Amino acid sequence: MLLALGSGCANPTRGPIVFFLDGAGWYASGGAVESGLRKAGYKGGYDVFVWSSFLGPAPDHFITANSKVVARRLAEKIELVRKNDASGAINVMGLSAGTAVILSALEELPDGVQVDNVVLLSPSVSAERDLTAIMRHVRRNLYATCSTHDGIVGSLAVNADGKPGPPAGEHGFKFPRKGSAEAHAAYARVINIPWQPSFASFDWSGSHTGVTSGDFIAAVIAPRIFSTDPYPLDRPVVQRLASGSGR
Amino acid sequence: MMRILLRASFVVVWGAMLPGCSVGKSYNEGRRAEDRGEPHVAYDQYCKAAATTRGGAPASGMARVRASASAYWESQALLEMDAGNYGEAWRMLMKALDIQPNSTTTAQLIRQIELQHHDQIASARTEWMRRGPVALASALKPPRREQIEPAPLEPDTPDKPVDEMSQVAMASPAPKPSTSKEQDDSTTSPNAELRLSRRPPAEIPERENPVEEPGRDERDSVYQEPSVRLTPAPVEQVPEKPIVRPTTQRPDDEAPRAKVVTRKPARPPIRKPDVRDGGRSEFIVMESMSLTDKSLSRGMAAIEGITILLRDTDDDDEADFDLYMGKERMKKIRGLKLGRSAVFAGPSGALYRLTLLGIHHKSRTVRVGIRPA
Repeated sequence: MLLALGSGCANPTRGPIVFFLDGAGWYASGGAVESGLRKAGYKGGYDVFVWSSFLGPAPDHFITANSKVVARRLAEKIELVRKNDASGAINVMGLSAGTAVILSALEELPDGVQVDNVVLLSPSVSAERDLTAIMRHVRRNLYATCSTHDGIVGSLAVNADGKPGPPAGEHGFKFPRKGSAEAHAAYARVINIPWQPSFASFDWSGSHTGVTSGDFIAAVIAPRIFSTDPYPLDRPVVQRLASGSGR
Repeated sequence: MMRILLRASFVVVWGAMLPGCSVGKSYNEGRRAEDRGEPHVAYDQYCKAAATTRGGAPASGMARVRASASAYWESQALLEMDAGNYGEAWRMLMKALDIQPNSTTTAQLIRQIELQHHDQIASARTEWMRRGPVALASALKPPRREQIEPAPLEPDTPDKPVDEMSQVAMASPAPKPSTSKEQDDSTTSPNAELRLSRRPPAEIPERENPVEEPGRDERDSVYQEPSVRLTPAPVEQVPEKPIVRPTTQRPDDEAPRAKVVTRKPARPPIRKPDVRDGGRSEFIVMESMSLTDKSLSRGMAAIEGITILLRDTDDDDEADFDLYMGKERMKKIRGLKLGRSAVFAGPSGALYRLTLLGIHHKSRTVRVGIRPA
């Protein structure tokens, strides 16, 4: 616990940096995610942002994940790095309820402060959450993995962000019903990555925490966030909607 | 009461076993395809099995054949590009990337084709956006009719949205590459740099060290980044011309793609001088060779009776060649770098320059040109 707290206290001040937030009451994914990123050739900084109350999954999920104080702490860290390094890459990744903290932190960022990519692994936030304002703080893309085989998000009574609707970790984010032009532009950069059988060979069987497998991160996530070019397999929510996919 | 319970338990047990049988069947098909040296078929069968098991042996199988299956689709895509089928080529490249998502070179190739042939791939891309991975090329799906056989199209049936998380294409013969294209097309295609010509295996010396199937020698390099680089050929800048595609050359009883690619179409090598640019073209012979792509030969008849045999490629974009006169080796060329040349003399005393125009290490494929030194 001390080690985890210690790593959270270290203040990275320059990019490239990846911030990772673990799930509620779950403190074991940071290492696998980092090893996956390193395996893909990432040499920048990696910071596990500890947001847990250490009181167990339920308090983390229902209370701490929604805490504005915690979100503000992460936002300040991001702001500090951006202030010191205007062009350095900042990628923010999180698992499950940690994704709720990420979205809240992005909302807390001042105007003009942006991260590069956001990766939400098995997000236990509402699929109907409007990401339009949040995407103003994302330079490139927001990725969200989802799986119908995820037994945890499939059984959630309340989303970690407290908002209604099915969790995004099940079928991905949905385009808002009354989407403005800005929403269209924003959701053109929101990309759901649904589980598919081929991911089993990268050690993600569709389970809730299996998505943090180093192999999956190295093969599927890293090429998306460390390349400056558009990734061909990306299917943004807006384009899928326009093509009639409905999802 | 006991009888009813027994019957009920019998139904439950069978119900539980049936999906397992289906998974086992796909997995066994995959193993057989892997043993046959068809990694692309094996991958799709393992994938089908993994849709239910979500791990275990099918996942290991996919990991084993991943690199070879991806290389297969990439090489098939190059053939489709050569034939001007950019939509199908795009589907195949996307399939290759779907199999090996961290292949930066495949991603680059897709971006390139999207940029250069945006209109031709528009429908394939729309279908991909709508349906996801099931819209890509598959070894288990029938050929796309409009791509392979432009003759009477069947009326379109409205596609239903498909959940790519669970759907796997049904088993059926694999699509067949378009092999009926005339040879001249290969000299007029806008993708001269990606062209792969085919030639008969005659007059090629026996292999001293048979090349292993890619499914075998690449099993351990699951996460290796391929070193493919497709470089533009320095010559053959010819104006684009519409490609005339045959409409009725494909008999119904033709073999499926997976088997057809093992044939080497009996056609002579491309060796006519290019005079379209007023005779300024440098290369008098240009040809592709491959150690693993069975649709290409390993050697080529060069000039003055000299035969060039591809020995090896490596990931530094270098290739090794042996030059034969009859059965006698007359010259070794080792470590020829991409874009570099090696000079050799013909029996007449004339000097020629062998240039490495392109190399695709993952499929052990090269393209070379020969010109007077």
